[in-house]
Amino acid sequence: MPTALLLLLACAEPPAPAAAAPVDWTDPTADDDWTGLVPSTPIAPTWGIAEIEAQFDLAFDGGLPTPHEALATYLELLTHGDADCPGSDFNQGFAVFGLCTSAEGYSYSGAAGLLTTDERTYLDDGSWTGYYSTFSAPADYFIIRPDGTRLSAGGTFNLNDGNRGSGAEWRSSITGTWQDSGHDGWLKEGYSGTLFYDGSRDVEGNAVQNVRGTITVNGVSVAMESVRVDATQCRTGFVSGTFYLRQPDTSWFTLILPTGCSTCGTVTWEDGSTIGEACLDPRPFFSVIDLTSTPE
Amino acid sequence: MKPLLLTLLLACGGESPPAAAPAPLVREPLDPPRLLRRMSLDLRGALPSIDELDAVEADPSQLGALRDAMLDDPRFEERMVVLYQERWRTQTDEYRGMYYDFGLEMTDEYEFLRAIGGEPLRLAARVVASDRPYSDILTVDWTMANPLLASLFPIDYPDGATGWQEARYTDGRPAAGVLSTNGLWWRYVSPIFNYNRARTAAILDLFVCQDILTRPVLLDTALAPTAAGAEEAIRSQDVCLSCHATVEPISATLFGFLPEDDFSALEMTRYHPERERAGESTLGVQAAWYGQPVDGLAGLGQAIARDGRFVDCAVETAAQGLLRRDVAAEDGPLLREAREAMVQSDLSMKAALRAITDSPIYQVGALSGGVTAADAARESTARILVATQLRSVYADLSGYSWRRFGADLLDSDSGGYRVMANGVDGESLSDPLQAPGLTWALVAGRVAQTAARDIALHDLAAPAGEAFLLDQVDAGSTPADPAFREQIAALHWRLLAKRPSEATIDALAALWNEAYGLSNNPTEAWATVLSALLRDPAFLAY
Repeated sequence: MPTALLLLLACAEPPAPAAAAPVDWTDPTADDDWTGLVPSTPIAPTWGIAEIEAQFDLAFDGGLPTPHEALATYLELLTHGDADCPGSDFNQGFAVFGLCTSAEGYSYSGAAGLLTTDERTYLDDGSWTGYYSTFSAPADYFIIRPDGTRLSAGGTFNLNDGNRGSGAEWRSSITGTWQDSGHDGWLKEGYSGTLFYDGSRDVEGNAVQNVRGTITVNGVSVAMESVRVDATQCRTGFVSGTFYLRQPDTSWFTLILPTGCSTCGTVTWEDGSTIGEACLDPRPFFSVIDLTSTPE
Repeated sequence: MKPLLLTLLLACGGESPPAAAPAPLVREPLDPPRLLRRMSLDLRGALPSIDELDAVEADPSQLGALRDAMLDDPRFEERMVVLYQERWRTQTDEYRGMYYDFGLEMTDEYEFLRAIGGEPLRLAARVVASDRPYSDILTVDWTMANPLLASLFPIDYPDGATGWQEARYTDGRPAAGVLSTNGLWWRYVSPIFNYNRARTAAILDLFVCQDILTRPVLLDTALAPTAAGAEEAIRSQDVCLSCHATVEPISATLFGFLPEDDFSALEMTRYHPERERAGESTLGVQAAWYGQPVDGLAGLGQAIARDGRFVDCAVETAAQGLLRRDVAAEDGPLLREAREAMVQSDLSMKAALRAITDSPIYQVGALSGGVTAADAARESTARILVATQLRSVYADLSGYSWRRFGADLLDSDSGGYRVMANGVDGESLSDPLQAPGLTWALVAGRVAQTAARDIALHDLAAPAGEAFLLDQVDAGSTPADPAFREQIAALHWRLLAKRPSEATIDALAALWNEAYGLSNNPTEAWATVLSALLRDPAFLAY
């Protein structure tokens, strides 16, 4: 091999790399000098006992939300429809994509429906035993009255009544969002939540109601666990159980009403510290002591 | 005779042959007028004015000052909306809630869709445009609303105001910036029994650029044959916990947005404070961000904003928007400088944008030196105008908007051409394509024709001083007039940021003559010339 060719081969530059050389790049997640530009702000209680009691009053001022009121309002509004709008009473509901207005001037939009089961046996005295229930299909509708007020519904409810001859029993619930600007109380303010009732009434008319769930009404959010309304004890009955109240910054107070004849209990903060003693107005609870709803 | 080895050593410098370094990659910047045009399109969604082009042509050092002025331009905020749409993809043409759920008519649908999807984008754009700390996007107690959005959602819109304004929800939702907007969660839905996990994946993707959905999972399907089994596996199996240990504590903060009914517009419209408590109890975890406990959704927003990856992701998002491509390891210097600029300026995104646009990687117009195939594939020496950019450019030039049935055809898909012209629809196309494909060319060509005709019709009938582009000629002008050639030269300069040669002016004058000969109509002739310029590759690329 000629020396010149050998020199050329020996001194030639190596071939260019297939890819660019890696650059100096530091994984930013490994930075240890990052101190954070947003300070952590722990949440502290800003409400005292007076404010806490006022907030509970505000939440229950319009009464406890019940599926019974939602059902009654819906059924009444349905009576203003006609054969063209909403066009069908199949399962006591409708499916209107868009908006239709009945001859009476009521406008319907969305999907609604009910399923009723009647397994009652009537006795000679006119009373009955057995079971009666009403379930709603998942509601996604609104109905506008001629005066512009509107029922808006998104959620479900169900009502179940039973009677074994020894007294009445019931279970019911209302979930989702319900609002009727033409109504009064909680329904006018609008309700969001999941609320369950179960109760019973003996043959002498003494009723007990259990309540659990979470609600937002009037801008106040309350959760209830093991709440029991018992009309058979004390002079006027009692309310017991655990209540939670949301402070607007998303933290929660806890109020425990012990079993007894008082409707006052201790309020604590999320960290377990005691805020003080607060009392609930029991009247909204006694107003829903009996939630039988079965038509005669 | 010298030994052969010694001969070789001497010939090569007497030492062992060094590995020759590859020739460095050289990024040649665009010439100043074209770079000004690129910056203007990226930061304002508009072409630079003649005065701006003249200024930078005469003195290229003015480029920086002109760029800074763009960051304070009113059009900058609108441009940020578009850039964030390309990454956050909240403006789709379909949500579970429909216009008729709110009693609106079909002709309102486009405005309905853009109001909902625009909410989080406009919040981010407002934070950036007003130069507030970028962390505000996850911590402020306000959102952005226009009158339509405020009529749909529980928002306290300022009395007497118009357009998009800062406004506040009235339903008790926490202060967590875009994390508290309906618009984000209408786009990123979670079925009831998904318990917000899909939304957590979106949070990780959008705000810390962690795409957990692409992680490989070696799942033993025998572990989770049923829904209940899957829930148990999530809590107990290592293969699941590797992601879900992170996902569940974040998901627990989002229960105020979890509807009772997946398709109820009313449920999706409101925040549900009473459901917040269900997060931890349902998922069996304490709400947290990567192991750090948080106080609800507001705490989550603060925790993300404290995470160093949040700033990195913000910079990456901005860089991708301006480079018009995914970032690569080779972009490290640009990303690092932009991040440093942002951190040193109290999290100013404008500082990051300055750093990005100052970078040779952004300014590149050609490659030289040791260009590898990988370099050529990665570097974007020319970008193309996608649908939303065409839309804003025409709107800025002449107020032209290509619409049908109330919808902007360059910003919608069900009846328009957004995806066909390489725009992001939020569903089928997640990044703005940079390949000049057939449908893109068809759309760009058609809008050029219709816009050109609209401009010519207006300008030739406009009073003096009110023409958009044809401000040196009138309906009686002919190629023989000196102003005719000056007009063509000005059009070329304004639209392409390039001075035309005499031959180019001759060619465009010939085109005018040919069109006039066919139509005997100066409007048609000027529309033809304008249309040719608006379809020129130098107009459609930048």
